[in-house]
Amino acid sequence: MPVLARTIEAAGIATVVVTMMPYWSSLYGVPRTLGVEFPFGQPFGMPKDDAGQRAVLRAALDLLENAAPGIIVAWDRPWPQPIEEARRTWHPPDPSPLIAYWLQQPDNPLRPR
Amino acid sequence: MEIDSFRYLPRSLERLYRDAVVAAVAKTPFTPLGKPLNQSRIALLTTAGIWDRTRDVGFDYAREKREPFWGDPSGRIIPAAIEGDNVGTGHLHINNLHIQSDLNIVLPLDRLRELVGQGIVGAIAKNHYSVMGYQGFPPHLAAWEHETIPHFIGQLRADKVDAVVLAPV
Repeated sequence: MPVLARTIEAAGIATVVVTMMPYWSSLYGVPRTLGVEFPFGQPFGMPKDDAGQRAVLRAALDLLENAAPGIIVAWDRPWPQPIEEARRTWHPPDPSPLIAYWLQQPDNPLRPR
Repeated sequence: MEIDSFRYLPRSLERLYRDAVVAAVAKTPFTPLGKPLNQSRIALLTTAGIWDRTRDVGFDYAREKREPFWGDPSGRIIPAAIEGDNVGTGHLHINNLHIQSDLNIVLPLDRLRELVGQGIVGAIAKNHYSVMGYQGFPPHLAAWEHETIPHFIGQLRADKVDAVVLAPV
């Protein structure tokens, strides 16, 4: 995602990124970032939570008007589900092809060290 | 509050990410929003790998299943007026059921329209954008940089878009 924002921004169009992994923004020089501590696949919030989604979008848009280059702002409202439930339900029904491949390898890089 | 980027990842994957070698990047590009938000036209971009089933084919998830180290670098344009029933999903790294129940969690078109209605945002763009966020491991970004993103930029300019809200998944 950093390359998407950086390339569009460099073409003269302002960008803001809403992400659950602001870690990458700090490493790759993303112009404006709103970090959300949400499970993968749901950057604007829970399905049907119109008010919550609107608030996240509004916070991102505010950064377009007011933020300095490279800013990373943390969205401070917690995810409404218990952590274990959120960790379980964001995953796809089957492991992704890469994970499935690794799990079959003797030198699986996901093995505990 | 500090965001824990790895809160929802298994520890094994966190280790892989943190161990990744990061190339130094050039200066952070920056384009100020040229006008107030309430006069600006806004577009959305998601990496959820969705498409409009009435006009496009889906991303090549079958090839990714055969070649796990490859991800489809193509892009799709999503019209602002898309109906929920016409949204194709298939991203192999997230649970698409959530998107199928409410597109706004990745592409908040309805929320953006509401902000336009409230006079907070000037206008919603005619077209929005989708890519498949997984670009292989390690990621191969050349096709995005040289084909997909320039195509998007051409459409953004044609639509006179002032700013883009991007949301990876």
